[in-house]
Amino acid sequence: MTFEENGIFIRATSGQEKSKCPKCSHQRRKESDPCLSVNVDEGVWHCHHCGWKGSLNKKVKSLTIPKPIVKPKPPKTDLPDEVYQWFEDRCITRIVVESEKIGYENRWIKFPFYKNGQVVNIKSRTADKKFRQSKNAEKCFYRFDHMVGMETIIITEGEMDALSLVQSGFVNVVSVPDGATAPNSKPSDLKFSYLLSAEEHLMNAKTVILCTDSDGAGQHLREELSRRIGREKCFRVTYPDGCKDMNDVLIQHGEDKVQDIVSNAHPYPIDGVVMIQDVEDEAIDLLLKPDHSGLSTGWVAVDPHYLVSPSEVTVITGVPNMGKSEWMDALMINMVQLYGWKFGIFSAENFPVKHHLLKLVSKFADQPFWGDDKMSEETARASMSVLNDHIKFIGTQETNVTIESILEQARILTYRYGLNGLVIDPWNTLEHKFGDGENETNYISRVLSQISAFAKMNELHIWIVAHPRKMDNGIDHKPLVPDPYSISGSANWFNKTDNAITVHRHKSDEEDYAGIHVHKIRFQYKNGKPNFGKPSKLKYNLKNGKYYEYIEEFKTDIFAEN
Amino acid sequence: MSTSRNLKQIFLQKIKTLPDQQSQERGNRIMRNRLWLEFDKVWVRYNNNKALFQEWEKALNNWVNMETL
Repeated sequence: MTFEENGIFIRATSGQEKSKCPKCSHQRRKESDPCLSVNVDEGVWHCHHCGWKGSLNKKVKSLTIPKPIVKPKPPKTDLPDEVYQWFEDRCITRIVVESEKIGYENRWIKFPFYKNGQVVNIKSRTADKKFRQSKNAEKCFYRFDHMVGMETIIITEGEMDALSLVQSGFVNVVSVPDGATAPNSKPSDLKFSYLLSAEEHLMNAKTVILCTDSDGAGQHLREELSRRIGREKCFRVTYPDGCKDMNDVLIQHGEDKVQDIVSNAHPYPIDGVVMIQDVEDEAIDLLLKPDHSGLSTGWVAVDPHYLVSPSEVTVITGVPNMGKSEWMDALMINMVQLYGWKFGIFSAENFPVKHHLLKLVSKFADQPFWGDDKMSEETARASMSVLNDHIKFIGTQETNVTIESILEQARILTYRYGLNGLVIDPWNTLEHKFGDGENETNYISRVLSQISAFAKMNELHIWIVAHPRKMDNGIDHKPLVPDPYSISGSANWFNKTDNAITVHRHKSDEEDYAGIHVHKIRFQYKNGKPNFGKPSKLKYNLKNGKYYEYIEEFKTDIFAEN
Repeated sequence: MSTSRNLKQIFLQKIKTLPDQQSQERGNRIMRNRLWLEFDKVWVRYNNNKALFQEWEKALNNWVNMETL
């Protein structure tokens, strides 16, 4: 009985595969949906749609009644000279071939698998790379006895690689019995059954060096072995150019190079841990770069205190109606004009989008979009045409926009258009979904970490406009400048963001300016220093919505006669 | 008519429509200059068969639109 006889058509020869169900797929609206899970190794299947399940009886029978393990006889070790020569061509000497008790019979070279001093399996190969193993033999590592009690174990993908290491002076070398599987195949437990008998020795070993091939299959095997053995004790090797395995290295560079490669094996990377050697070159690049400061905001008064760098998060706060969104838009237009940056904008307070677009066009074209001297249609269209490449509005179609949906849209836009910046304005219009038992503080901490990671991963600068929790008034009954600690939610706004800015309008009889209060800059060596209490002054132009450098008027007439 | 002459003709027709005066605002001046340089690079790439006509046309339109402000 075969899968085809049951109407199941699969490509895989081992592991798991999904396929169309012969019972229900043709009746379904989504006919191509692979609803049938097939386990090729065990010969069983199950349809997740109609529930049809079955098995290839033969195969299951063979699984349920295990066949007795057969121990093959040791191979004949009297090898003809041409076999020794074949090994010599691969830089494996006669001494190693003899010590490993390699046999030969009828054009098959035989590698005996010794376990506890007895041959438990024989893998045979021809010169033209045809392989076979003893029928019903036990699966174990090649050279199993050499891993017993070892603190360091070297695992290779094939017998020739293991022999190359033995030739180079290593004893504690073993090889997987079945080589590597295809890179995209799912690892089947049967394929790795040889690990079971070696479990104790692998657990006791302090270091496991994985010397699999550098091709896709080898890397796949390395990933799976490291995952099963434990990445904390796994090391991996790097082959020189032109070599894909240890035998290549031995042939092309000699035994010293093989020893060199094994002794320079790198610890297996652990998720989230970066070793100095991993980032050394990037840090040196940064050091040698002539100018690694952030990008100008476009305002001379602001630049000493705040420059824009990728992979950072800036929170902007301020009393409502004091221009934080306007300043954010102006900064965005400056970045478009000066550097051609591309932005994704979620700006719920500026919906519908046409209003927001006109505000941006007005800043871009330096002309108002309302009043008697408003811009012409041609100017607006030309501006929109240019801005079309640089600005994408996101989160406009959904009623309940979450931070996850914003980041997902930003991710797609980054992939398609290469965004440089993302603006979330304002924070409180997003729908916030707290986790079970999560309070606002924990939620904001978690989400800011998520946003920060997203910014770093996609090399975006993310601006979040957030309202303050409450407005304290000063003795003159005017609102005080809020700082990021005043933002509704928690102190995480100050702690977890890279930069924190307040936009505040300072209006009095003597002066009227927009103050840019920079409270926090994480990387001050490249992005400037905060201007505690001494805001950068900008002049807001109501007509076109732009911010200009603030030129202080003389308070006294210096030309006046005394 | 060769392709390169065709491009030249399109380019000359486009620049005929440009206004005499443009915005002298700093951001616009910088962006104008950058878009011109980008267009220049795309033209060189087009001549080396490394860019499509659509890319050339888009870069030209971007620059012309910026010049009309």
